[in-house]
Amino acid sequence: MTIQEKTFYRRNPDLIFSDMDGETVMMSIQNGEYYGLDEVGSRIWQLLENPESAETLTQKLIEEYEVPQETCLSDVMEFLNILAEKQLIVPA
Amino acid sequence: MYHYSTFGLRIRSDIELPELGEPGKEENPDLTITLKPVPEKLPDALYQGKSFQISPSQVLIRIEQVVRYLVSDGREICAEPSPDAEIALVRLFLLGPVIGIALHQKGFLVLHGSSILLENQAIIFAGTSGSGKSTIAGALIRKGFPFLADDLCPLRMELSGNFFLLPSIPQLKLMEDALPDLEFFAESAVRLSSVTAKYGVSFTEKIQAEPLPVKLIFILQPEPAEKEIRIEHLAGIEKFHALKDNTYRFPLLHYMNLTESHFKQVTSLAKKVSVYRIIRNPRIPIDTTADAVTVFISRL
Repeated sequence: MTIQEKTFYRRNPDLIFSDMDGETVMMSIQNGEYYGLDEVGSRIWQLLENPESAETLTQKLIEEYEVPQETCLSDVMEFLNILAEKQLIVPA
Repeated sequence: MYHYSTFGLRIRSDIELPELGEPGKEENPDLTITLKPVPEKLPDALYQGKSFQISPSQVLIRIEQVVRYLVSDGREICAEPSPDAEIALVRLFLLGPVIGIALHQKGFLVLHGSSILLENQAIIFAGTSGSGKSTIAGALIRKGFPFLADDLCPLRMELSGNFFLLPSIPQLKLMEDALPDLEFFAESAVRLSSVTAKYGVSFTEKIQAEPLPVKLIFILQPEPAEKEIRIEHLAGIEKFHALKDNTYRFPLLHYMNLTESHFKQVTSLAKKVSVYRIIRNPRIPIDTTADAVTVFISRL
């Protein structure tokens, strides 16, 4: 599955997660697997409290981090792809 | 019938358990230990191992040619020893993995560690088997810190969100190669069974009666490549995994349907308690490690 720039995603509701000193740990209730997100990943996860697309996330992130829009968008797409592959996010 | 109190639980046992001190008066038990037949197989088991069979509410533990136990809902332990079983060995398993499973079933967060007292708080040394939990506890006890727990450290989360170590079995178990400890405790050390190289040191005269707040947790990591000893602060994902991986028999929790509550307990604990990793060369004397730990604690 490849992420589309304008498709909205939300957190998989079958996950429990917790902030740990700015990083995020999560566990899938379905398969018992554990996952971890670094600080930037955790910020994106926070934003995913409401449905977001790669495009809307990029708009928010370039206001917080000093990063060119194009770089940011491609990084976000790559990150969302990983989340979607692992079923940590699902289409909204 | 014998009545004891340990882990904050009233226990009624068919088996005499001198490890828990003098029997007390008869009370309505939270946990019963009963001698009665235990089946060979757990029919609804989600996990079938050589020693463990696990369903969400029951765990069957089989020690070949010695004893079978069935632990149900954290409330009842049935034991069926083989006719020629050494009773000391039956007790050794009962007061280790078997009661450890019952504590998991009761919903406590059970860390695999040993603990000593400092300023009315518990300091826990967690680690895998052979990492030196009991020997470092022994070394600190020799320096004068009171004993709190060995091998099993069940924690209870209070409404405040703080974690308390339950008063535990007052016995330190040492391997026969834990020499400075064994020499020091020589008079009170008792070989635990004829088939194990473990010795028990009893602390029944000064049993801790109340749960104690957990001050900090050390994770012991033997590292042959390390020059001497290093203590590092853990945070974030690493801290979470250190606590998860040092949960008593963590891989079994999945089949007991406990991983979700365990996740919540571990993340809550991580937010309340400082965790440090002690990376040490296993060849350096345990007393050197104990000295490094006391210096480290005094500077906190």
